[in-house]
Amino acid sequence: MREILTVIKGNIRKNKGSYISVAILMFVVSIALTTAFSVIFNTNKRDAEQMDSVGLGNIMAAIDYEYNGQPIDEYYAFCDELANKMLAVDGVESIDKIPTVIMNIVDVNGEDGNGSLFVYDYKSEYLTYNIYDENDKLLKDFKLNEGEIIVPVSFKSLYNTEIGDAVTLELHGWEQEKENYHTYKIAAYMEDPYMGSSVMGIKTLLLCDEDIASLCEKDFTKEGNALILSVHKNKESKLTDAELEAKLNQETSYAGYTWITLTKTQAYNYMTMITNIFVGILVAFIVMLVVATIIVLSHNISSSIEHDFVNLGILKAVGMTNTKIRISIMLGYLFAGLVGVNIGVPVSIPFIAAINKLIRPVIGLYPESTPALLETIITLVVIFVIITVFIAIKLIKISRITPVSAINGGRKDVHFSSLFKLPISKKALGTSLAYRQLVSGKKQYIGAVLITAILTLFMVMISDMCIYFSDENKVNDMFAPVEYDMYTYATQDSDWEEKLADAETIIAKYTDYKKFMYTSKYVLLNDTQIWCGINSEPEYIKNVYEGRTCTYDNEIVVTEYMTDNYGLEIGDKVTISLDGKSADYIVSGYYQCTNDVGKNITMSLEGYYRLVGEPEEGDRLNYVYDLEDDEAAEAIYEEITAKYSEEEVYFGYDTDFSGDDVIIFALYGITILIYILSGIFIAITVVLVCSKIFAKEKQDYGIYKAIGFTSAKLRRQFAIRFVICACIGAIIGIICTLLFSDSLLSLILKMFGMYNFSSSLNIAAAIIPVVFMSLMYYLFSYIVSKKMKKVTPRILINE
Amino acid sequence: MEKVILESMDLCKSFANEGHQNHVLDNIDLKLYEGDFTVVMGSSGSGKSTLLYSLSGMDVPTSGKVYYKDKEITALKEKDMAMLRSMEFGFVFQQVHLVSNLSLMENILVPGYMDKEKTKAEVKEKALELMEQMNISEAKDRLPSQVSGGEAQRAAIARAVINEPGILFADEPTGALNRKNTVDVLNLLTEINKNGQSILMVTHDVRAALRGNRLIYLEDGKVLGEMELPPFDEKDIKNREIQVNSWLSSMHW
Repeated sequence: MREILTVIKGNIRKNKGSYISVAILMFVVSIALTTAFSVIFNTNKRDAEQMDSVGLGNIMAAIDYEYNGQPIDEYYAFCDELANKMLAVDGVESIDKIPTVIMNIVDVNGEDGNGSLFVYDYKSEYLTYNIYDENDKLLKDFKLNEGEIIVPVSFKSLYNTEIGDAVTLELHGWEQEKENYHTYKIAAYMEDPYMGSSVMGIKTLLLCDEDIASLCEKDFTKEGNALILSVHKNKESKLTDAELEAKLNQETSYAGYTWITLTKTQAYNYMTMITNIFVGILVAFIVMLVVATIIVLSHNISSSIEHDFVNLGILKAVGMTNTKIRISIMLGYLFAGLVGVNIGVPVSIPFIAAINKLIRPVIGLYPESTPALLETIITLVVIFVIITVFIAIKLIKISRITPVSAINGGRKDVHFSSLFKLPISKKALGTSLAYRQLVSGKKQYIGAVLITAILTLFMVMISDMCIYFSDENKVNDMFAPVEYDMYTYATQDSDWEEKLADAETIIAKYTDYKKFMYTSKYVLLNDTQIWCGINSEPEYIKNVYEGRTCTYDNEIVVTEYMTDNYGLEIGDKVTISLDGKSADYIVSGYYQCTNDVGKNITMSLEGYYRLVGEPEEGDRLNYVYDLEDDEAAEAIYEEITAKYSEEEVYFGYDTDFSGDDVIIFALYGITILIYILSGIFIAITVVLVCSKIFAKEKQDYGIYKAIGFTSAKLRRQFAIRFVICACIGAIIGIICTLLFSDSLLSLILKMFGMYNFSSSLNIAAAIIPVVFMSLMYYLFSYIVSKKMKKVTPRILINE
Repeated sequence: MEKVILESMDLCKSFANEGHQNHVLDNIDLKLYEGDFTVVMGSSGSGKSTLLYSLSGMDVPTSGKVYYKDKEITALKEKDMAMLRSMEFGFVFQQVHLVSNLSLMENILVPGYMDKEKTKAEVKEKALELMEQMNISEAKDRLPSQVSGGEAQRAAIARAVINEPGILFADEPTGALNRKNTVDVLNLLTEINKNGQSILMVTHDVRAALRGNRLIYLEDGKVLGEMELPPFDEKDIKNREIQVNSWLSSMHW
């Protein structure tokens, strides 16, 4: 054992640069891994814990009703009856009837808002939310006054809010009437584990009981304008939330009476989606970093064996066995890795806290900043086992060293394939010599090339995603199955049709357009509530990538989410129900639409009429307009709104998805992180590879200096080799991107409802990483080759 | 009157060794003349290789000055020194020291390509001519690892003279060669010297020393003695060997 320790000490002393580099690589990997795992696990854990703590059940169903004339006591009686029916279903433990006020956001600090809201009494006997101040400090016994409101923390990212900012709301169903606007001042933030994420369109807000009473005094009870049925599952029940939902629908058709229904599992998936997607990308990148670490280690071990060939032979000559030599080398590297991990894990704590702070307004949760030690340690142990096996394989070649062969020299003669050989050029002497050095020592650079390819793949992939998600049209494409630039809602104005026709002449003044009816409904598909797009021109449905669009009135198109979760395939027959009416449809194709994270279908207007019956005379439809010149939308909107009030003709042109900024923000954050980590990896790779190559080629530099090369020229020549490596690696990376990027991203983006992510390789997205890599390689190899200055032809002298 | 090509004044070189200064060269004043084949001899550790590398600018002397054609090379910047090595100096080492991943031809071409005055074709023509002269043209496309030591050393000489240097420095050029290759290399050096090439060669091999027309003996970093000889003539080799051996004996060789 002592001899092993002595050899380990000697190895570390001699190759301290290599061991330090391995320690740094593992340090970086462990920081990234601990941070990513902690963020993902803490977020998921926090959401699950908060869901239990808030008090909502496994299914929440907001019961809808007609606003016109239905007495509230009848509504309450209906809800009681429905709740009793649901309570009788096997697997249901209890049902809370939670009063709420359903509202819409008008604006926040004058900035247009969108989305619907459930407004609860902040002292609700059913729901207990955590309340926080501006600095994320948990507030105990917080008192909300009249005129004040508590908003989800995601308002910070959605509307840049601060405490004291004004939020204007309107009662749902009373839109477009300014006398129904209500303005409140933000007094605190809340953590909503059901709908708090910035990517969710519906939000929860809290008001004091006096304000709720004042909101509802017109037509409703003092408690609210709707009831939420919060269904708690029996603890012994083995049904999943989705199964319970389907069962409830089979036995009570409850979803047909809801304005919206949401299961705990769905809410959990929505809430953790953004963290899972983006940290998922990061974890995939970390896996690649581990692969890169193994590649660097591989090169390092091979070079070290070659470099220490004689010493290894001597060790054998003095009686060290192959096993002992291998163990000593392996322990050295593992020790270095362990040092890196031991420093990396605690160092990650401030990173976890910083990232939590950064993502809090995006995910709407307040996860802990403690490292997810168990998960991280298990993963690190697995990584170490892989590395150990890998080192053991690389060290097999030690057994081939005999004391005689080692002492006789050890360095192999240079031979290389003429396949890559190019003549030495007078004009580009430095570059051609650099190329020759590269091809004659190909093996030494394979690691650098592979690492560059891996890093390029991720850089291009993430840049492509940034470009994709920065493109407003593409983001809209994801959410809306049809393309349009302007939309109009039918109003109650008696001359609406004439005024709409006049508004359309205004549009025609600016540009040609296509007009069609487009709306959406929640329907029951095989007893599950599904978002359903309806449009009058099914041929305008985009992103139908398999099968065909729903041309006939008995056809629907579905997303692949429906295939994965409900087993729907093209050609399958399904039953769709709405308001107690049912009809059968055939799946005619797959399309992509991320509404409700992919849980959606689309049918034609004829198909919709087939379900609910033909329209009555005078029924008004909502239309959308696809403008030939989409830039004209704003001017058209201005002219129409100058002429008509919103109560006469309601037009809109902003179809932005409020979450796109959040996605882009997260993507750019990950991009920066990937570039920083790549930079560190390139630096370490270059340092490791360069120092080994430098030691090996030192004599050649002496020769070149002897025949008149300057240090600067040799350094440039040295650096050019790595630029060539970077370019080759980057080209391989780009080819891999073209081949695998879309499928890789589709795997991750499935969580988001994107089953068919298709990016076209952007020149800028490809060139930036190549330039970045080349510069990094050039810079670091030039810096590392500084010691070239110290090489004099004197090393060629045999005294 | 012979023209001085290289001159050293008070040339010193010391190495620090565990706190002690080891004076390898001790105030050496030396003049080398154009067209001469100067041979430096001395026992092992006498400082002869150090002298060669200090004179050639390969190594930086501790003190003193070296002039090449009246230009002080000890004061030159790296770039100018590199230019001097490229265009004015040629080197042949004991170990062959060819760039391992370049063919023999390419090893010769690289310094030629650094001469901006010459075209690529001229450099190639000159390289082929030298290879022909050195009898290695058949091995021109082989890597150093694929040829014999003698062929490699002849290629190294061709590389050293491709830019027609003012002076050729040779450090034990036959030290690692067998008898036959030694003779070939020495014949080559003698031949190029006859064509006007100034040579400074360090050796401890008497047979190699016979090729010089001026012998310098170094002991403990000082010039102990000098000897002038007529230009080398194969027919007179026995007499020349007696003369040199006698001189070496007087130097306590």
